[in-house]
Amino acid sequence: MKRPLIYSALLHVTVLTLLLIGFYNPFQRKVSMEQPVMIEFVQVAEQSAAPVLAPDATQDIEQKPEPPKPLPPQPEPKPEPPQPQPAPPPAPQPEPEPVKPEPAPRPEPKPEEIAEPIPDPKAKQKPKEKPKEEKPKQQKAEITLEKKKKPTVKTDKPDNTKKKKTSASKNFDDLLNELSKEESGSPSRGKGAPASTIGAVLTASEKDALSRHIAQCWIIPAGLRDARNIRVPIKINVSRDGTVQKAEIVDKARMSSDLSYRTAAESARRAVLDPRCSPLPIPADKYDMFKEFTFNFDPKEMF
Amino acid sequence: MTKLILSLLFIGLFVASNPSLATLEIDVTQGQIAPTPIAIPDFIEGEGNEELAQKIPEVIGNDLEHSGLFRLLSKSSFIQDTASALRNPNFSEWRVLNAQCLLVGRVTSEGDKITVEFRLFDVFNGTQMVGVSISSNRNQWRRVAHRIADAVYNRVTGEAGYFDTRIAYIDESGPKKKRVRRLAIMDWDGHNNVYLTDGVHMVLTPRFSPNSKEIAYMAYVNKTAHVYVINVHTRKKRLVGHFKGMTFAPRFAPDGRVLLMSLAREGTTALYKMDMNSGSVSRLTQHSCIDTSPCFSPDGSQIVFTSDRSNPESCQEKIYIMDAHGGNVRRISFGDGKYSQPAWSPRGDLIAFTKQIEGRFYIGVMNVDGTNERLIADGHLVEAPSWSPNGRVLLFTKESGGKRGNSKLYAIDLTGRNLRIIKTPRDSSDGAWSRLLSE
Repeated sequence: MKRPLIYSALLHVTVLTLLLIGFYNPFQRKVSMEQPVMIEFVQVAEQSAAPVLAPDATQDIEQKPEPPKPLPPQPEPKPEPPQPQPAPPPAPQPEPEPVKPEPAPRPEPKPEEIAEPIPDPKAKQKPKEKPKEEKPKQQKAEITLEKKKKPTVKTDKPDNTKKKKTSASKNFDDLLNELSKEESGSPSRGKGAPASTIGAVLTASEKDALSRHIAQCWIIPAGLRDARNIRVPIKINVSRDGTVQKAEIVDKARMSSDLSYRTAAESARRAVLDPRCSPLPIPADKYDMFKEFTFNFDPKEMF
Repeated sequence: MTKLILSLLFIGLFVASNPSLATLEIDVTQGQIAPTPIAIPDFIEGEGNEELAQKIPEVIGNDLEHSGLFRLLSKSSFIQDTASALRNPNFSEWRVLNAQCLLVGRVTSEGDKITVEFRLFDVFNGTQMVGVSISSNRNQWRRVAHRIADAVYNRVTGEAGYFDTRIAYIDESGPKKKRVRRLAIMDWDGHNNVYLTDGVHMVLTPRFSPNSKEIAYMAYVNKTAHVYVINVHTRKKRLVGHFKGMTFAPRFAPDGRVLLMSLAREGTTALYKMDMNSGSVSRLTQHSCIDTSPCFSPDGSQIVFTSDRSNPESCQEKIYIMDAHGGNVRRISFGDGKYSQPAWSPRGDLIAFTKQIEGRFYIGVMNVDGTNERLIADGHLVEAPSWSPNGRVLLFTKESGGKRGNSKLYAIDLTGRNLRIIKTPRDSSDGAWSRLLSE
């Protein structure tokens, strides 16, 4: 009886130490990916070592500092594929234009409104409540959905890990070998984007294209207070064609306590949901990365 | 059993360390500083309210558009009618128009009382942002509209509105050499203009009391400066004091009990405070130089003013701050030129001022410690900055040069954008912005 216990304890210790060491590499990669978007493209180019795209990225490094324009040629071809495929949202750009013409008189709508009988006062209250009720429902649904997702990932792994277990009980060295193989990013695990590939495969220019795409729709009220201290993460779920299915403001607590944050967050959410910016130009072959991702809206450079 | 626990632990740790779960993050650091598109269809009218159902949204729309933070969409493009939009907005029909916000409402009345119910929707997100009903006397319908505009402005921008307010100013008429100056008051959008003085005596520098029910101003009667306080509603005025020599710019303390002013006495111009109840006057600054234009901080603990004490011979006034009782004086403006008329923002974070340098005038703002000076408006003669109650907009006088030059009130956003003229019947100067009337 004691043997398995000792084995398990030893196994725990080794696995723990291994994993603790393992923590740093993926973490560092993540950080190094975030920084370059803002400041240094050189690092991104080195890390996003996709065979063909790497040289492009180095071009970016040279061109970026001078004008931001040189980038478009790269992202443009990429957004194009998703666009022609589906256009489910209502025709975006053509229609806003008719809105622009000088304000026309209102005779047309008026008679209709007069003709409309005023519903009983109780009916007024119902719509009032409805949207309010919907909100919390959506939020709950979002939370539960997130929770559901994680288990599905977990359930994938047990299959692999169980196999490991059996081998681990035979020989620790085998286990170590297997672990190290896994951490080096074996593509054989099939489902979803392989761990370490996220940073490496998505190029800086692709990220930049998405950022610039959504920036067109992000309308910020001039003179937003405390803009320097605001950074709004919005969690996004998109369908395969790039249509935004869900946009969730992550920091809900700050929404209720900080009015400037609420303003920025709501404007950011509207940007993501803006029909003019939907669908998002996500690379068709990298959809797995975009099932759920985060846009960080940061207005500090604008004021 | 142990195997099961072990495997679970193992799985847990493995999952936690697996970087494949790290979500992709994309930074968006640029956006459009542009007005938010908003759709405001005519409100639904109850019996006898047809006119108001049209006029109230017009006033709201004018307020919001004037702020520069909203863009009104043309009503002719609207697809859904207000009645059904109020009951159950079809967001996809408004999304097509690129309306980010939708304001719908209904006007009902009972006798002389009107009730306006309104709802503001976030069209893209498909949710209601505000839903409120306001009741008032029919003749106050413009105020109801302004209050709705305030509510919309507040909900979308996160800042208090400034539409349910009034502006006191000096109405100017007649030839330049024989100018007639009268004290006037109006809604911030130029409506309901009322003259409070008859123009026999020259009047200057109106300032609202903290509750916006009274205005302190100066009038020159027989070449002597008189400080009056007039009640806006009853229009009764009372003499607070009269002083020989020059007297400048009386301003209320935030508690309304004290009036600050500068008086020229014994060869110097110093700051004084006057108790409104007793009428007693006490001197705040002891100096042989010229101290003028005092203004309290919003919390009443400090006073900002201008003085030439750093270099009396050059007449280059700079901005100083001192404690409310007169001590701890420190200079905050160090730039070139002459600074005057400092006004402390109601937010407490900025000081607006007039600056004169190389023959040109500017309106500017700086932090309370004197840093980050920004000039946001300029002209042949721009002066007398006064803050909107939310500390977001500055009202000032702009005078064009030449023989036919006129004087008008202008408003400009703190960011230096959205310069707009404030409608007045005739020439105008020395505007003062009230607080929100609903406060």
